[in-house]
Amino acid sequence: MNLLKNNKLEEFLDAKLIPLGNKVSSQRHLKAIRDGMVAATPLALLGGMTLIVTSPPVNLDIMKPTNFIFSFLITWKKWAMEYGMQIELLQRASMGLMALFICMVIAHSLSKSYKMDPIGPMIISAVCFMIASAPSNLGVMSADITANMTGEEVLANQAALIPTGFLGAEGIFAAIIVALLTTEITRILNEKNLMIRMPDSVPAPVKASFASIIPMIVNAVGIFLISLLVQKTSDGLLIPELIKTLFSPLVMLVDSPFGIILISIITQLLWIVGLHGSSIVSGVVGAFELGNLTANAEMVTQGMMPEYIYTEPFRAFFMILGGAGATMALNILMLRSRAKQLKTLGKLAIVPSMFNINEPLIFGTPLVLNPTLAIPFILAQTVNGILTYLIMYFDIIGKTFTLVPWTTPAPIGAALSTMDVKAFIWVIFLVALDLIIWYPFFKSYEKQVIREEKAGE
Amino acid sequence: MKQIYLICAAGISTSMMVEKMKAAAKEQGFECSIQAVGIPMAESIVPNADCILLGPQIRFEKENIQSIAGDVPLDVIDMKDYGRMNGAAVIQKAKAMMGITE
Repeated sequence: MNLLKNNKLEEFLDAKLIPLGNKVSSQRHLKAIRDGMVAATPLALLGGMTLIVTSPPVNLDIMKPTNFIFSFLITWKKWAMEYGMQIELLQRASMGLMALFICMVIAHSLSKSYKMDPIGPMIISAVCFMIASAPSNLGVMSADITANMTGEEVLANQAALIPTGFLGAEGIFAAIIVALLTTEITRILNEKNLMIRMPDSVPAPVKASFASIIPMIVNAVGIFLISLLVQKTSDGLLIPELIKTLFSPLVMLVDSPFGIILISIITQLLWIVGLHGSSIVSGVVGAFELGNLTANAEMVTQGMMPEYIYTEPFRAFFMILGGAGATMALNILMLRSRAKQLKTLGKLAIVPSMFNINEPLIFGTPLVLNPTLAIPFILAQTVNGILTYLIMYFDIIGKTFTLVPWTTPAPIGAALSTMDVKAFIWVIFLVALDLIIWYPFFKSYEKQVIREEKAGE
Repeated sequence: MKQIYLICAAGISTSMMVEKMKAAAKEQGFECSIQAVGIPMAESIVPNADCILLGPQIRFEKENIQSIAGDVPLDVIDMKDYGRMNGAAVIQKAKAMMGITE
């Protein structure tokens, strides 16, 4: 078998790559960022579901109520136009404040990794993030003011208005940096013993709240001063705007065919040695995938077209059809294989494959260290990615803007995440294309397996 | 009753393995509870675990999880057994790790 032949190679690669995977997965700052992104998933799912309800795939100019489905869609669209803004509160309160929650979770995770009490750093990071990203101001909603109000009545309507523009997708990078920075500062202050210590007889929660007084003041005042300085020197730019500008070349790189190819190849090389590629790579690109998607969602709520192509649902539903490596096509070929073991495995794996789970194929075929199948294992999903990038770039199908669980069958997930029926058909076409890519390599591997099966009889 | 935990990235592919292992355990008359969880849950299962098995795709997490698990026996499932979803073989391995001999 291939596995036996490659034992030496496997040992060598394991020795090199396992420490790498281990480093990425246990490096505390990367782990904290990953925890933040994981915690944001339910927020994005709630926001995504809300947007699915409020964005029916209907163009009222073109569609006429000629049949039952069309009349249903038109009624839905009209209902969404009337109540959409109100319903989207569910999106604004979850996905729309995502960066704030991400900031808190990252601070929580990082401080726990230092064995600090996480409550203090979590609150400090949230306060600092609000100072940096949402400078609130006293104001009165002008809509509440009428001409014959007295001055006192106007003042009674006064409230602190919090701008939310940087609390969602726009603020994700700022959230990461603020969370890491404030938690590190708090840790250093604790280590240097710069905190108010209480005698041992004081109950622990009281002690903890006093312990975070000095870190709170140092961090909050520090961020406030930095923010003022940035605004003074840059013509009023807020910290998240500045950070976003600094990150924008990276964002553009990730959201390009070159970025997609690079991410695809690295992920697949890890899978080829049997390591969970996407779980390792997402430590680095997860923030971009989620940030791009959330930014798209925000554009849709503002009545604009989504801008970013590379997002989590893009990878899940348009690239890795059937699981990492676009193995749905391989699985279909196996179902009709003349090699007994491949056919048996194909039957075992087909149901999980429909839900984008393909460990049985990866370890059973095996795709791990299989030189014959390595090329389509890397190539198929990369081709899917590039072609989909192009047709989204030219607006032939819509871009993704809602988060649907990645275990949704790909054509359905693709249609729901873009709210574009054409995406469903496009994904079926991609599976057919993948069949062509996989076919010659599969046939060659099948021959080897049949030969081995015959030899074993 | 012995408590066996399987861990993978999200606890999904291991949950398929769990079903196969349960069937194999029942056949052997071996009473145990088997559950699959994702990596983020690793810390919280350790106190109840008698045996922890990792999916081969997250074997790079072995060191991290072992450091939380302390003395709980922990190992990576063989790739071939995982791919073929060979429940019997993995139950055998778990038994051996817990020092159960028939």
